[in-house]
Amino acid sequence: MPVILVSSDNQDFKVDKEVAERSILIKNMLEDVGESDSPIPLPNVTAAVLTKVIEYCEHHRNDPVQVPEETDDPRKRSNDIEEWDMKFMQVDQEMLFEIILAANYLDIKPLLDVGCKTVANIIKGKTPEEIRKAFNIVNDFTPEEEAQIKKENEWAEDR
Amino acid sequence: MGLGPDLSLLRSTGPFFHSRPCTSFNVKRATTPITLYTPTPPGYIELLGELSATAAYMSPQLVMTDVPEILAEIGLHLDIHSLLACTTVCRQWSAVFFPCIWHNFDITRKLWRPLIDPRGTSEADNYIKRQERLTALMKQNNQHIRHLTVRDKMVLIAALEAPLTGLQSLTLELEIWELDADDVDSDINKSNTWISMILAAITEKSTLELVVPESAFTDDPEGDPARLDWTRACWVAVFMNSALRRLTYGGYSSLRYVNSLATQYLEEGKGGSVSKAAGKREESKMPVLTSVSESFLGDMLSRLPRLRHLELGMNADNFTFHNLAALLPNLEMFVHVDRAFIDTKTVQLASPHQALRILDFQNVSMTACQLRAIVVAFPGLHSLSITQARSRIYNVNCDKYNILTSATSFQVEDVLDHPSLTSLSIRHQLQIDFLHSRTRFSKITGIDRSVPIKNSYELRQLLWAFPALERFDSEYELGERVPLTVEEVIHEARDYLICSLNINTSSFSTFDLESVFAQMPLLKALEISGGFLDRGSTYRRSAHKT
Repeated sequence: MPVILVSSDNQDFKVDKEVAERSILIKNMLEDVGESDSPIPLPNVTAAVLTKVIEYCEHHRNDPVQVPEETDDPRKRSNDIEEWDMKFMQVDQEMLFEIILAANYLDIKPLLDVGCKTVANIIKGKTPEEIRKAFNIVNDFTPEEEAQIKKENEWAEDR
Repeated sequence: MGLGPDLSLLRSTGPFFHSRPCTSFNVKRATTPITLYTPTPPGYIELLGELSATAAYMSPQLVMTDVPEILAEIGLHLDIHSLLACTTVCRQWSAVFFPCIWHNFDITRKLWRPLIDPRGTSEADNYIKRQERLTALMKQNNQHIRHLTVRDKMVLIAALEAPLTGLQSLTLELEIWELDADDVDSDINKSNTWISMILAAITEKSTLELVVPESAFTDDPEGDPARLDWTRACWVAVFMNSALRRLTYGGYSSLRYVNSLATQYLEEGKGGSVSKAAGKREESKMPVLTSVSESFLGDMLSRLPRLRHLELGMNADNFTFHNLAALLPNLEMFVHVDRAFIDTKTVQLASPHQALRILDFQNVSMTACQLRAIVVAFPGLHSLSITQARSRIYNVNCDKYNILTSATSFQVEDVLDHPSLTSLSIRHQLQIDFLHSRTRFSKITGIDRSVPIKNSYELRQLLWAFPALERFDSEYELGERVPLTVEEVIHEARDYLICSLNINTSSFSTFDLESVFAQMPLLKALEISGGFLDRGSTYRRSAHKT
């Protein structure tokens, strides 16, 4: 049975229940409401972002439910991203952030993970100045504070 | 002081990022001057703090890097060096990423060493000083440390002295040979004294003897008395962290067994004959915990209501496995490290464990009836992994289900169908007993590792057990070839949903790729390989349907 999702800009999306339930938020909503045809409003997600999110959920509709404990294991955690997911995440930075926010709001843990891994991969290997540039962040430290933090971080530098 | 980054100045200013004006992500943000140190009434900040999560979603101008919880989530995927770089980016990032540095604190890694061996000091510096530095460091960051691996005695001492309020995951890996003192002045001896003092101090203050009773542990006369202290100290660390979500304790333990090797040596020694049988007996009996040890272990595990992942060895895993539903009804993942003994009666009689999703036997020889018992006992299982024991001594005969019926009279009565299992991994399981268990796994689309098949009857049974199979490799684990012809395989497989088929055969017959695709309309990828032993050549053909 299809479910109707309504984006913040009032667009309707008809998706299979199985696909919609990749979102734990929607899954819980559907469980609470029971059998109902009424559309589900998602006031925090725009149509453009919802299209992407649904594309992801469609592709991963048959994935087994993730056990959080498994992914919490620091030894098992990897920054490997599946090929399809990697291509899926090739969007501009604003869209990337929007997808992450939507995944967090809709409670789609695997999508949140893929998004965060993508951002983590951008950060990796960069100097603080390069990170600021990549994300357009203003350095709001006083020079003294910055020097202090750098000094305190010295222990981890290669000897 | 000087123990790692002291960012108290930054932290004391509170969540300053909330007081920053909302700016759009692109041009504006970089050009709008941001006033630092804007004095804000504390009440206002608190209010904003509560609202921020909601506000972030409501305002389209805010971006991810302004939502601390998302930043922290990103921090989980970063290495220490990247995290350190992040703390230098801006004030907000500093506040968010600083705690992440400590999430996976592991002093045994070289990276962290400079913190307890600062420049200018030598490792031999002073055992006491190093221990104090480590304890101070862990006290200072006690709320940030989430995963702790105890591979080193100093870490265990520090963990007992600095209560880790945010600990979620504990891995205990103290090695037995590191526990014995050799000479009086050694560091080992100093640490032994230290741990016994800690235990004495805890005993004075609380009911340690009730929680971690000495009588639950072995009084192995061959072992150093300090071993008992260290083992108890490990359990005290577990006890002190009752909010643990994950516990891994697979190594040495001196829990007391009814039929442990030590007990046997004692008995044999008394009888005056240390016989060759001692070794044999150890193999022939599954170590069983004494009732005191069992009730200690049961009590200890029941004190961990939030535990979701348990990895247990040291023969304590058999007791735990058989009492899982009673002890840890919310557990989601159980790794049975040591040799597993699956008492089918216990597992079947116990009420089903609904929450368990992942079950991993690292050392088991599973029979058909044991597999049935597991299917009944864990109806919510998604993933089952079976790694074969080296020896098969613990095989239990189960005539009821283990009868190899003839190919024609293959019975399907009394069938079990596992409703949720989607992943099955079998390693070194030389016999295919599980195929005779009349258990179906209708959600499984592919089996990790190929299953040895000797004839078409076994292939038929395998396909019957996995009716939803989409990928199928018919070859022996070690690359041995199936003694079936391509046509025989196709004959059995054609009614199934298989879309990717790999046949590594030793019996060649004439076949035609086109006719294979014609017989199996769902088939998309086909690979046939084999060798002509008499000619010493190999053969490989693959085809894809677009």
